[in-house]
Amino acid sequence: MTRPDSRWRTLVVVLAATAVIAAACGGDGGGGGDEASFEGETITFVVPFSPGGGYDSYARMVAPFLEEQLGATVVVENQDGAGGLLAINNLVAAEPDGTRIAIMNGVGAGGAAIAESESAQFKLEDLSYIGRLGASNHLFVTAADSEFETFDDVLAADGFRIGSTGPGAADYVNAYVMDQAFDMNAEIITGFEGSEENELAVTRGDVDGMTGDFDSRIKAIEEGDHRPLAIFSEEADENLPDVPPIMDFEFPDEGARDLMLSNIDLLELGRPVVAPPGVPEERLQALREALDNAVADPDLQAEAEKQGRPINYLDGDELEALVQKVNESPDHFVEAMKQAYSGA
Amino acid sequence: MLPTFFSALEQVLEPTTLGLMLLGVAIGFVVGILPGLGGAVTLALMLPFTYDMPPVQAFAFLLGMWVVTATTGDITSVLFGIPGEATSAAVVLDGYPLTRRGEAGRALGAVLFSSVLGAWIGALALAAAVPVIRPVVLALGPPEFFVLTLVGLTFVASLSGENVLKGLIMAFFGLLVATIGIDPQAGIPRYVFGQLYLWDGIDIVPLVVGLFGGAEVLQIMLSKQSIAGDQADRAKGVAGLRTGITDTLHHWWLVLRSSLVGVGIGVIPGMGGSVAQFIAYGQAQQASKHPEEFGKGSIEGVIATGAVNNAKDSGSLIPTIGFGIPGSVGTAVLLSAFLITGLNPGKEMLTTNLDVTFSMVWVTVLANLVAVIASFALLRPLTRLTFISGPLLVPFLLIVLALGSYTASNSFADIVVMFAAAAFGVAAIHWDWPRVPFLLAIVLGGIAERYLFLSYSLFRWNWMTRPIVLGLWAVLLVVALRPLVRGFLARRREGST
Repeated sequence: MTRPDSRWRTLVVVLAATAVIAAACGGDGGGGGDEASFEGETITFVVPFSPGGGYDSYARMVAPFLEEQLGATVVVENQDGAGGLLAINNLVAAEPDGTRIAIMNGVGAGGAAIAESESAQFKLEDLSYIGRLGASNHLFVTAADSEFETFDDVLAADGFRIGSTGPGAADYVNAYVMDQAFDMNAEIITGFEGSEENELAVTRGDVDGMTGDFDSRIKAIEEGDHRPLAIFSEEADENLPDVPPIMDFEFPDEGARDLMLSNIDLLELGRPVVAPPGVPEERLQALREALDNAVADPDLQAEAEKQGRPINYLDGDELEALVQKVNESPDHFVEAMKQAYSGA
Repeated sequence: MLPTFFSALEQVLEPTTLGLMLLGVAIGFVVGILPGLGGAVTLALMLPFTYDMPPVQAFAFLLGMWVVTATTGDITSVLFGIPGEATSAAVVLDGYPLTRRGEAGRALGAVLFSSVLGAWIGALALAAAVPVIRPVVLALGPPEFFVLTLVGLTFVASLSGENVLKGLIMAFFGLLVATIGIDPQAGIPRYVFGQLYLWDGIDIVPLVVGLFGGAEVLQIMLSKQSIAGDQADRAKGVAGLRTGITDTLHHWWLVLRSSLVGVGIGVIPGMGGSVAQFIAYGQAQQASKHPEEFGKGSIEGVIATGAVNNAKDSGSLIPTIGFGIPGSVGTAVLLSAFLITGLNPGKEMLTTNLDVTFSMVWVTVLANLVAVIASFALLRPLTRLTFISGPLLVPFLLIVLALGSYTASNSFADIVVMFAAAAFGVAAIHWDWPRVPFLLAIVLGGIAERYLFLSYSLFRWNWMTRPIVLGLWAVLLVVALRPLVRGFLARRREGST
């Protein structure tokens, strides 16, 4: 082995290593934090799930428009774990200067917070709310060739099997509340890996039905594999005008009706963009304005239309009011949430 | 259907589309080589660039990138014993020993050529599956998947090396680790020690990167040698390339079998490439005339793992195209691409948009061909890296490994898992305990538990007698008993002579 040769190699290796380290550390430039402007700063936009899927798509779709509005660099970061709660708990502990924001699974995180599940180490009212990007109606579906042709058929039947990914998931909470409110005597089958696997089980007839949000369920409906029986809302959905809202059906009593109404409020949370508790007022205001303007951009609207990811926007104040309402849910709904999160 | 098949090729060969595919291949090439940095994450980053592309171009770009990561991920597995992708870990088992013997060229020739063949067989299977995609996917439910995971678990015995008892103990330990996390049925956290990170169980990417890559880096560090050891004969590095290709052709039946294993497992959502590679490896060893060479530099082990890797991507595309149900994380991101380009996965992909489906087949075929030719051209400088002395290479590799693990879920806990797995891996190598049964049990254990409970809640005990399940029981029996019967016959033959 010749010496100069090996010295060259050392140099190459050291240079390469330095480059990698530099690339790794380059992300958190910026600083500041007291001024209202985000100009030149780097904002991390956390997606609490792995790449692919609705939350990821929304975040990546909005990020460039947010970037334009703020004059900042917006980096989308996927932090998967604990059904989307790992990232939100981390966010809550982060520096509240507005440079770290997240898109949140409103139903999952909101429900966990109400139920005081150990997975949610925060109170819903503590978070800083920037705005809600989307919220779509949730649907209750069966297979297209199922014996259950209407929601009344389901209510009249003795027992019904609903597929779900597991306790605490939105599809479980919906099914659980529906079962409680209508006294359906339903059996919730848990353990599906995701809504896709659950969807196949419904198509196959292994389970009788499932619940899920409009965007993820509409495909199987349009394909002719599934049939929507009810919508978790007070009004019909303009895209499915013939499907009855679940509030149109007769509840056994007022309490049951309240239970479902509270559930619908929770579903309304949809896909909010949040920041850690205690972001300074002017910084939060800057973020809110930026998101307001980004969402109003016709280019973003067109993009959303094209991707089938509808923007259903609530600004920061409206979102805060909704959170307030969810937070004041009646006791028996809180109790039901606790049950739905413990899987009992 | 056949005219559409060929008109799809014409579409792929249009200059813009072809150019985008080559760009995708170039990106995928680098991502595949970087340990840990996975195809799925890169796909998500590239997604916005497809907003204005027509479907065929978008998929040429994305798919061209994604399928190539599996091919080039094998290169670092062979050269450094560090899997470039979590799905390339099994290539390490025999590819790396070959490198240490100075036969890196032969191993790379075999793994790359079998990769291309595997990709082609997978693509062919995808094309052939088009008419039957929907009935096939609908015929397989949780009970069928459960028995398939059992079949996978029986390979623990043959993957244990010389001491089956040690293998079983490691597998048992792996099953225990698999119970970490939220249990799939009741939603109760198990062994999470208050750490939310553990709710989803141990992440497979940092685990594989640590267990194989990290362990190897530590080994290099401790040995203070270059990877190719004292092999002074540097020219030998790439000399064996042609031998490797001939080896692969010679074992064509093995290539075909391993590819079909890849397609089959790729179809099952949640199973994924980290399982397929070891099952293909296990069956290669079981059927081999020289099972004792596995783990010490068997060219058959390299060929099987090369082929399976690329075939499984096509397999996981099958449910994605037919139902919009992704068979892997990578296809989950590709699913977003369907929506962005205005395509509806499902029946449309098999009728009005059949040309797009077939264009995916062609992209898989072409992208892998390009990647392998490029790899062959770049091999000489790459193999030279293995002659760099260990202490010089180690810091660089450690950084790449840590970064790669971190990208799995952007948690520092990923890096902790990676280093813990690396330490465990070094201990396992040092005291000669097999790592593969441990990993296989972790991956399969969680899936098996979920499908077993799901089968029972859906069908009670009736799941055991579903027609396809009965057939799979028979397969399980054959696979489990074959090594025993073989051993028995061998002993009898010895006894009679």
